[in-house]
Amino acid sequence: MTAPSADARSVAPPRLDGHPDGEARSASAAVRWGGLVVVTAALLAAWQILPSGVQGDGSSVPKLDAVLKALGPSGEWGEYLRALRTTLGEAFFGLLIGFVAGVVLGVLLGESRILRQGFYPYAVALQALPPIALAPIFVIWFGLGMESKIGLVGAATLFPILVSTMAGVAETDRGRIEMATAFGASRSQIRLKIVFPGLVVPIFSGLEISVVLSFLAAIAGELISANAGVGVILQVYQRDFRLAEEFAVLVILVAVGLALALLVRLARHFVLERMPNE
Amino acid sequence: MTTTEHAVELAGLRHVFAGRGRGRRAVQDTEAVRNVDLTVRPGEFVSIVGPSGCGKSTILKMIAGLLRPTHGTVRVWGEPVTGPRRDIGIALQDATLLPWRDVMANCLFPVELHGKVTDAARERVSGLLERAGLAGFETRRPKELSGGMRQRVAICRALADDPRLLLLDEPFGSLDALTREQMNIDLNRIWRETEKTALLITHGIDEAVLLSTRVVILSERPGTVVEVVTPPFPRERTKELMATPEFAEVCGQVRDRLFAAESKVGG
Amino acid sequence: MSKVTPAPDRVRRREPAAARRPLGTGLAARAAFLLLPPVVVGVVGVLLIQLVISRFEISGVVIPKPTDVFEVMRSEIFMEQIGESTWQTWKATLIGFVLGAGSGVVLGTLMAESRLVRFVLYPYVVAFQSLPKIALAPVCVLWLGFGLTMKFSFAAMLAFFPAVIATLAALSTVPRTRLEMATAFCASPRQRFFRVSLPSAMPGIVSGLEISMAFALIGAIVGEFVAPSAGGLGQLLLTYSEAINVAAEFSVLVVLMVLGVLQNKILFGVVRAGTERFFESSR
Repeated sequence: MTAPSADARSVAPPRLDGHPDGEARSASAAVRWGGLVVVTAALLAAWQILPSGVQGDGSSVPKLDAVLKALGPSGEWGEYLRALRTTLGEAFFGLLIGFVAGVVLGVLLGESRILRQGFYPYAVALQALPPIALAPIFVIWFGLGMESKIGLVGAATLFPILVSTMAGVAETDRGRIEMATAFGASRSQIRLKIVFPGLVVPIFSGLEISVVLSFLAAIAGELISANAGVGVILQVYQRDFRLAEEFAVLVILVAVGLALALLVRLARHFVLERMPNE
Repeated sequence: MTTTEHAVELAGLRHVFAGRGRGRRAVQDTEAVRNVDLTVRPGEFVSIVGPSGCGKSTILKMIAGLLRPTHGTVRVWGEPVTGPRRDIGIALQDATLLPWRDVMANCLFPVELHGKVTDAARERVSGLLERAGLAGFETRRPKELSGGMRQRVAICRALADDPRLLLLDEPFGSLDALTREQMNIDLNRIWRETEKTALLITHGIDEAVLLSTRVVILSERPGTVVEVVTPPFPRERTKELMATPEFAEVCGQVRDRLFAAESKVGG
Repeated sequence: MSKVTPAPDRVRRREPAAARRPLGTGLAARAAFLLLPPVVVGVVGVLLIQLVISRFEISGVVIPKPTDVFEVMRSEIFMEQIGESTWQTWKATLIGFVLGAGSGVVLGTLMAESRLVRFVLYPYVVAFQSLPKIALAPVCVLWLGFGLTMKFSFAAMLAFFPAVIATLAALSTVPRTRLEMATAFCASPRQRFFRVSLPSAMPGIVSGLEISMAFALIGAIVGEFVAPSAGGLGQLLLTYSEAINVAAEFSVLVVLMVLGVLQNKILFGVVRAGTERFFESSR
């Protein structure tokens, strides 16, 4: 009987294939990277070869090289960046409003049980209303400029922050409050030293959702009615059949979305490091 | 190979967990088990005790066919282990009952996997549940049971498909001392009545001595067999036995060996 | 949670008779205690808004009087329009949800069960997830026109990703010991998936579906916003918006809110409570 050699364990024997440890038909790194490269190459090739170009009928997809050209130095970067600045500005200021309002209302509702009971059903109902449906009303109130989109973003980002703040206040660890009370802390001291520091992490998790929502709501608002921004140029390019530019903007949006996600992730790392939850 | 068939036979067993990653986050290779030789004869109840992290569970997983040894061989009933076997029943520290099944369906789980659910199987499981003091609880869900009852269900499940070998990985580790003692008496009875071969992993010295026909003592990581103690008691074990000086003496003997094993590696 | 469960064989507690109140008054008091604050807030709020608007003669364009909104909702024309529009929106939502969430669960399962599929598709899922998918609405209009197909396709696209992510997450957090137990009892990969992994992941998948359904509704409405003549509640909102009929817009929003509550909170509330009860979410 020969003992299996040390490197034999990297190749799972047939009957062990079910084992969670050496995951099933566990593909080696080479196969996995190979698969990724092949799939990516096939997708890019299909994108270049299959589309028949922009013809003005319903099947229009721009070829890869046209999109790359629209993303290159000869692309409409002035237009892209102006639109992006408008949209990100709307998202930022709207988020600011939603954040402040959400935290203030969340603390109020969290602190008072009776207020919470009174308003909670309405908060739940308003949350079930797709915030984007408010867009036409904000246009009536604030017009076609940035203000209406800022209002929409504020309304959309308010609830996640409100709900998580409220939950954070209401679910403050009783043990900690009892401990502080036992040491003779006053109500305001408890609030300042126990409740509020414990809110950082819940508020941040609400903020994480709201950051994504703010970008989305700004674009949605612009699609419905606006005079500038990403939503506007997307519709203009679509109407004018400038699909290379349309797709270029979508690619830029993926990049911006990834950057936002990365930013949130770094911020979370930073917050959790300074303010560990447990 | 001799004709006498051992229930379990471990020869020169060694297991190394492969390290992962590079640079700062690298996890080094860890040798969990080194040169373990051990045989379990049919009908025996063998316990493996050792300090935590000495690779006890690794040995059990290799016998169960869940892990492949890096070196050496594992044989069960004379055959090299290449994967999980149907004639092995296993119970782990965590009862791992499926919460959406009732007690009966949980016990029948292995039988069902092997495609053998019959009235006879149901009857056998009913008998097992009765012996484990769970008669009348067949239709209860796991969350309605106490921790001790869940562990008893897990042991019934291990025995449900009438395995020849029972593997127990600290099945009572998470229970309080009193419940644990009661469980041990119950397990001893079930073992005698079903005439199985059993291998128990534990860090409880009393538990090992109370249940076993042989106690195997493992050193700190990498685990290796340092001593085998044979408690000189009849197969039937009782609470009264635990109060006797003989019992205390055997326990003391095991404890000394364990401490010796630890300090030897530590120094 | 499970730690609190007493052993049925050892602990048999019964409330002392004196401590038990008559069932009727207990329930009624509890219900009143729960219902009173929201009812008070609702009634006082509506009255206050009505009073402030009439007192300071605020234009109906800014905020319509609650009575005006009630008026609109009672009118026959509105009832006719709203019924048809709600059905059109919800039809698109439902078809989009079934297609999008269904394929999302399938893809999430493939990614969870095969390391190769997961590795190859992960970059694409991440990229698409970080794209605000609303931005695809104009392209969808171009490809699929202004009708129901465009609406439900867009709804499906929004419903797809939450289902993928939730399924992948739920299947990859199945307790390891459960899988090990099944493997030790000689479960085949197929048996392990259908008898252990999938039931264990059910609560997680269902809460993902809940998010999918909410997104499908958003998708249907945005589809109606960007595609003229698509019909539905979104179209109705735009029509009233052009006519600067804010009271009617508020009425549509109320209906939409009720639809949202029925669909996202009540329907899924029941489904989720059911799955969590049956499969015992380990959370």
